[in-house]
Amino acid sequence: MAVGAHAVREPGSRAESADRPGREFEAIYREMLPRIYGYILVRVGHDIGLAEDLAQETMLAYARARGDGLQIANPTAWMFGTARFKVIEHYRGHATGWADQVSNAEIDARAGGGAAELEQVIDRSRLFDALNRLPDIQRLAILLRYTDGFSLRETAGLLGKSEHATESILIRGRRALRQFLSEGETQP
Amino acid sequence: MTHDDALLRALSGLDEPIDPAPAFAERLYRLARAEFEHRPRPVTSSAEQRPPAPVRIGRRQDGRWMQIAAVAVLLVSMIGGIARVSTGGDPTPTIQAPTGSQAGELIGRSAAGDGQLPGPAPDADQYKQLWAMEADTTRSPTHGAAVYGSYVYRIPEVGDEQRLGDLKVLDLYTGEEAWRQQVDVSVTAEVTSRGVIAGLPTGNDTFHLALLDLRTGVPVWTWWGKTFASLETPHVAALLVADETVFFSVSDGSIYGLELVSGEFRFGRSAPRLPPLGISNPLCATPDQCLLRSNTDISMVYGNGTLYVSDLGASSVFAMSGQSGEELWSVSTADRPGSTNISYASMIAVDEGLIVAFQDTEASDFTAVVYWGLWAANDGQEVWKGTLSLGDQRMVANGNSLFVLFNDPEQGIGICCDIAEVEIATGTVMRTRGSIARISLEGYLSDKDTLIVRTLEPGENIIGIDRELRTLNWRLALEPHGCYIPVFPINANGTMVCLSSVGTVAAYQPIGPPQATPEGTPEAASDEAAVAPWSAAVDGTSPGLAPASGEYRLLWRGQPSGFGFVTPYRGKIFAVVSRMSETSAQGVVAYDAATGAELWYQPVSASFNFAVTSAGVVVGVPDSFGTGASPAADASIWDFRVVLLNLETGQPIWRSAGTYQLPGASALIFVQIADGAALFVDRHLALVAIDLATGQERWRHESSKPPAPECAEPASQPLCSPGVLAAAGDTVYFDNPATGQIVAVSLRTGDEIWSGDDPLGPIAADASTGLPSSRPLILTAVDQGVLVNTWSPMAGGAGTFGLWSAVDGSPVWSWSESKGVQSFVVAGDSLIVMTRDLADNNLQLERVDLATGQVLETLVQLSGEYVSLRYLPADQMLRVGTWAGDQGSFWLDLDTLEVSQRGPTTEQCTILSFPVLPNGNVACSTSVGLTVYAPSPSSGTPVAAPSGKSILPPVGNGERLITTVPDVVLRAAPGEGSTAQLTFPATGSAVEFVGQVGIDAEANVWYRVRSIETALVGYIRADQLAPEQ
Repeated sequence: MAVGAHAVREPGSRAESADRPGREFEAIYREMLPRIYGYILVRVGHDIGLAEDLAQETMLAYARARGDGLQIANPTAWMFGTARFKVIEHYRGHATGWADQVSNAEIDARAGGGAAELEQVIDRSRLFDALNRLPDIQRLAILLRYTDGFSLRETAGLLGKSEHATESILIRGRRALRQFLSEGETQP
Repeated sequence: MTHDDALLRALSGLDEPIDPAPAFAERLYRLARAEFEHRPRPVTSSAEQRPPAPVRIGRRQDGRWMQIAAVAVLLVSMIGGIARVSTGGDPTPTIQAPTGSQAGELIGRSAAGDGQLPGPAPDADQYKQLWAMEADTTRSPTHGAAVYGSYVYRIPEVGDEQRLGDLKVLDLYTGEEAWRQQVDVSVTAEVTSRGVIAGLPTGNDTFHLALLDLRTGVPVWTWWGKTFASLETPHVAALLVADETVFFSVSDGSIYGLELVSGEFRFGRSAPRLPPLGISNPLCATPDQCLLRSNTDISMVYGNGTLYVSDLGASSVFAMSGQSGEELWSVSTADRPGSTNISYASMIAVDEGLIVAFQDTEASDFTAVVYWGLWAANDGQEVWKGTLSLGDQRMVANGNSLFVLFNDPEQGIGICCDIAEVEIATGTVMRTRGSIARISLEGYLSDKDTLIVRTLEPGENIIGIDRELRTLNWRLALEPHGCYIPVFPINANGTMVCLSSVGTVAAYQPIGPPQATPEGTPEAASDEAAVAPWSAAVDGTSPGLAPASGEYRLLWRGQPSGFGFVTPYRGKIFAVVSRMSETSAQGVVAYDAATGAELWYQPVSASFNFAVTSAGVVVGVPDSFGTGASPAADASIWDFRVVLLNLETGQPIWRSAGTYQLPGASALIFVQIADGAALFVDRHLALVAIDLATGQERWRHESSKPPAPECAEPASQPLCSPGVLAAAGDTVYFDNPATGQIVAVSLRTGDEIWSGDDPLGPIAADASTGLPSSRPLILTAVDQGVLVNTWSPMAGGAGTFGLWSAVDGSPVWSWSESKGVQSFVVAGDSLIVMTRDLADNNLQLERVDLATGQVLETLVQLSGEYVSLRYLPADQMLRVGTWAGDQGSFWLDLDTLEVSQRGPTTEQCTILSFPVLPNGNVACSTSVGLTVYAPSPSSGTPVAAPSGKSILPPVGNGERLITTVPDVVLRAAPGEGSTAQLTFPATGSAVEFVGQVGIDAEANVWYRVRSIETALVGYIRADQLAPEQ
């Protein structure tokens, strides 16, 4: 053991080095907050208050994890995974959130017994509106399956449903989504 | 493009950044930044991220102190003592480790989850309750208890609205509260040999993990690295301690590893708790009683360096490195029978891997085990799968066998349970017989190969079943509260603690034979006292054989001695040394007899002479506590407590509940050991007996008259001392200087048997000096009574010598005053008396009939100034000593009356200590303190380990050990036997390395060395060594 040995530093480099983790954290935070918030906002039906809560939980979880010294090789994946988990946890913790609030019959009735024609390009705001009108379980299932890109089996696992039930939810969700989008088209 | 195609395309590109409200974003940033900065910051440039050490509460180590210590070390070396380095900054547990416990491990439960408990077995015929603490059912019910040393740690659960409960620490023998600490019961506190791990509340529904000092409850460290939110009832954090590591999780997907001793962050693991595909998230015992998997608690066990974790939230069981936190393997429970309903996993870490048993939530009786088997340690692959239908998920193991409760199909499902013994390596069911009605397995006690079982019939009982014979070994019948949860280990003297079914904590003491005797620990207190230089009877006999004659060479020296006697015992040498501490100016040191290495040290009262017994070392300790100043705030400077120290560690086994008073600064209390009690006469001339097994006062005999007023003067104190107690049979004798009477007291009851005026009368002030007159009086207990000798060379030839009856104190025989008694010993039915003819001053040894006082024969005429006799019955040798210590002494064979040998011949030996060490070495009191001599090789007698060759265990490179010196970390051994030149105290001084090197908190390197010139052993700092040539 070398007693009394000291490394030599350039003036100012210590302070700069010491602040480096803080600057890295700020950079990641600034970049990721809008992405995480946007991700959550869509999945909670544009419930701004809920989206803020879940975004806060996600970002604070990241801050604590980094502060605790956890190694996070891919902060983007970590935060999106956490945000997804927060959303799912939120609805799992609210029993009514899982209820398939719109019955098949109702969807069919709203759809008039058949799907209306859609434009080839769907307006994003209309899609958001339509998603917002979906029951939570259907919206989440559709977003996990078609936006996040999980397989049917994976989506079922995340939702805690059987594959058959998940497929049924997706079918009803898509049908309802088409209906809501069609309604939007016909509105003045 | 179809409508669905367009929809799916729109959905796939749906996510895009959306700025939240600026106020929200800024507020959240401040919060997140605060969270980030208030935590230990990772070192991003290092592959290993280690936050700084936590804030340590307590006395801070002072660099200047170390400098002073370094100087002191060398100064002490100059004046001929042994120096030691001690930073003393850390609160260190000063409680004896119970049998079977190891440093850095849990107390009272096995980290492997195998239910193994340390002995001894509670097999006394009867127990009596010492005390009981009723359950606090309103605020913080009792979860459990642990016993460590002489303390009982009562662990709370549930808590109040804020989940706070009281961790209480009670005296094992009295039930008195030693300390209490409010803790967050989100963490079930665990007692370890280093302290108590608990959650310290912050006052904001959060807590920090902390290590509390065992004796005071003061936090040794607090981990600020993470603030945990209190968990809702009934959830509790997962906490495990093994291999000096704290493993912790609040079941949120994170697992932390902290160093037990320091609280330093070792690793963290974070993973979302998501159940895999096809696994039901809600766990429902009934349709309306559901629990989300993410709300289930995780559980952990540990074995062979591996932490096994059951996370039913993620439906997985995985293994991690206990050192790094690296995941070794993970197994999904999804493919097990009943996988969607598995809610609980029992685990036992064994050498072969992990024994797992899964419980099915939806089973009708909630206890069915749907799967059990052994998974391999290296990859988690199934080695075997159990076939028996288990009726209970609790299992215990003893290394070779696994014990489970199974439903015997012949008796019908639900008639639980028979005990099945399963070979761990193969899963083979070896035996299934032995049904004893409804039971639950509670543990395995290695002592007597016993399974601990709770019977579930009315009047719940804890019983011990012989594993091999399946017979009843013992049954706990503890009245009046009963025993629902026994607390192991049981104290060395058999005192045990139990929790009743309603949470009452009670301590029980065995009554009647047989007393429980722990394995591997000193046997229960016996009459044998190795206290030098006298036996219980003060009859001049000593154990062991006479030393070999011839030349002896210096082997090693102890530190400068205090007032007290050197006592060799079981490979150690105990001696009083002068060493300043906060509570005393001297202490007892245990040395390794072979090397002189200091094994432990404890400050003791200077005026209470210690005694070494098979049960431990009896000392008096100033009435102070912890690091507080001496004496305690409301105590006198003379107050002390009697303490029994562990022979091996020096840690207290018990501490007397009451305080006693020393006679003063210049007089000694001579503690005597007899009938399993420590006996002494205190400042007020009360004779006190303290039970060696329990530390409780058995009885006391008060003096009918207070000490003479002049005895308060320092100069008078030695003259007012009652001297050494003498005991034989059921009687202890002492001389009361205040009454001028010899008193005989029953050892069993403390009742006075008789008292009679001694030849000297009550103490009185001398008219010319104003001081009390000297009262030379020595008592020796024999079967027939007590021998009283008042003859003293300093008394001008006057004195009496005679035997008083044990029955009533009447004189049996008495010698005239024409012959002085210089010294005597009891040798069977005879006395060997060194008499001095008052006319011609000649000395002779005479054999005297003990029963009548008749001189049977004159053995030897002595020419020279001999003053003392010592008799070693083991080889019938009589030692005749001189004023000059060993020089000139000789040994006489009592059978042949021949002078067999001289010596040993040493450089200097004022008082030879008995017994002689087993290897033939001798320990001596000298003018410079304890010195150990070894026979010179030329003498042809056994020789101890050669000087410079330490028997201390070698320390491997990089291996971290904690020495007996606090805060000194051993890292590598220098070349043993190699020498170095010192620049201090004089250039050219030479030392030999004796095997240890230490690095203190200030990064100074210290070597343990032995001076070639003086044989002194001590530490020396590296920068005092001359540069290598």
